[in-house]
Amino acid sequence: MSKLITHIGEFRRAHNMKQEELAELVGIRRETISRLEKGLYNPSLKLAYDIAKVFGVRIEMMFEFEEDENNMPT
Amino acid sequence: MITLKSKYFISKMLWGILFVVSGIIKLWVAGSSNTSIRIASDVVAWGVFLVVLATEFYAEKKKVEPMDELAVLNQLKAKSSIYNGIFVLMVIYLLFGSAFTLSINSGVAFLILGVFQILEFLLFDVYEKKELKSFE
Repeated sequence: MSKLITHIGEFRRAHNMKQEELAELVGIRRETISRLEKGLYNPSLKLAYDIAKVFGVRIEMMFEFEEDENNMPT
Repeated sequence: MITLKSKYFISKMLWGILFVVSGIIKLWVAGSSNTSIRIASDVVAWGVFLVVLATEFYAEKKKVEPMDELAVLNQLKAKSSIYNGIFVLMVIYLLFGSAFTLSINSGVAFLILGVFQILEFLLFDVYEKKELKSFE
């Protein structure tokens, strides 16, 4: 099972943006941003795209998959 | 701006309490022929109804947090948990139903609907907090 790693927090801090501001820009709650940053919630494709769009980056730069070592092809 | 939880509290918890109060009153009045008890119960029911209605009206006028996908997910989880609960209860009734009879009058129906409404709010709150606690 692969794990989704987000770089939302890094991009947000780099843009000197508060969680509230990002939440308002993408139309969600601050709590949801917090959970996304902590990797406790996997966003929908649309939300992931909206967040990447705010920072003007490709979605792959904002989110990446970490493969589980047990499932790696030999 | 009011939080989504507050809005949910008003739309589910308060209406649930109203339903429970109405159910209890209906059950209580059903066994009584005293007119003053009937009038008093009507006054109580109308009083609770007006308070709930006024609170709902106040909440409608206020700006509410956006209903984002996480909130929708938690809302669906709360609703489906209740559905699963009803399913389990029905299975228990089908298996052991011969031991007791199920009679539902309007008072009991109000009571059950009210409990479901309250449970929906409580479960929604639990799911919201559960995800918050997991990273503390």
